[in-house]
Amino acid sequence: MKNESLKKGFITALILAVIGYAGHALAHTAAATLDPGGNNPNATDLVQVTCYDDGDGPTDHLYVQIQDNSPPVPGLFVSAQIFKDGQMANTTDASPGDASASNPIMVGTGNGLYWLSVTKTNVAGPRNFTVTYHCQTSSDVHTGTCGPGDGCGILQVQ
Amino acid sequence: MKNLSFKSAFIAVSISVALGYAGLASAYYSAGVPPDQPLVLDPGGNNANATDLAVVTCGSGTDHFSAAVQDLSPPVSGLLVSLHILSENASAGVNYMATATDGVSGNGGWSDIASVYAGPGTYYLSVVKTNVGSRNFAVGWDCRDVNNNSMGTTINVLQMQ
Repeated sequence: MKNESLKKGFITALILAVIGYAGHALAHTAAATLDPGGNNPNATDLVQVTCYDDGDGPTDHLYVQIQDNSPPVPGLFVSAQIFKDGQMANTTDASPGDASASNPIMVGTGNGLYWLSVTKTNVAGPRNFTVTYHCQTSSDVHTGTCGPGDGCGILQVQ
Repeated sequence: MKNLSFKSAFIAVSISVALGYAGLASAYYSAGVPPDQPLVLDPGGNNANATDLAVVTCGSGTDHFSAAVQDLSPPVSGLLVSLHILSENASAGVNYMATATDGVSGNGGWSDIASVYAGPGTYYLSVVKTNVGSRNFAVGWDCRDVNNNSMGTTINVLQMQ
């Protein structure tokens, strides 16, 4: 059930992203809830994002930001990670619920499959989050991005 | 130098695990070896996104890979240390990634144990934090069979930040 909701969220967000695209900043944005039961302090969501050349150029890197939309709870933070080819980056929304996203992170290893995860620190409690991901060329131009909303893999929902 | 120290620490701990493992609790060893050279994440104290990464190879007979992290630095509000385990080879229905956080920094306690059940092969182990600020940490890890017996572990550092 949650998986379906997550997929729908990804798809809805993707459609909105495509409709609202106005140039260079095209982004794929997805919203979901981590630890919806509020009883898994170590909940981890994991998806795959495929980056490819859609005519705008080959991928240089995957760009990601995470936003924790839930009210602040002491010691409870949401983070996102990118992993590919032995490189990893991590970013945390250090100010939950303030409508601002984390610092951006990038892992640059070209076209191919990137792993994108969302985790939280070990306090049980659901966290609604929005994650933005887009594949970019070396000039930061958006290029081919296949995430969960495009049928590319949701691997783990917790 | 730091990378070498880190590698040495990992090797020393791996050897300790291989020689000394006798149960779940004893799988944990401080990776800050020698004691006066602890592992440091974000030594400059200015990289909120600092991420250390190592690759672990678990041999034949492995059922799962487990790890835990301990934040050795004094508590700072909003600054916590976590670890992640990722396997690219997990079969369907088995978790690919696990997370654990030391929720109480500097108290001598460890995080929960994180485990990924992906059998023999390659696992990635990372240590991250939630904000700017240097953190000393220790990490323990172990490849285990279905009975939680320790298996051989090979580890190499990929990234130090």
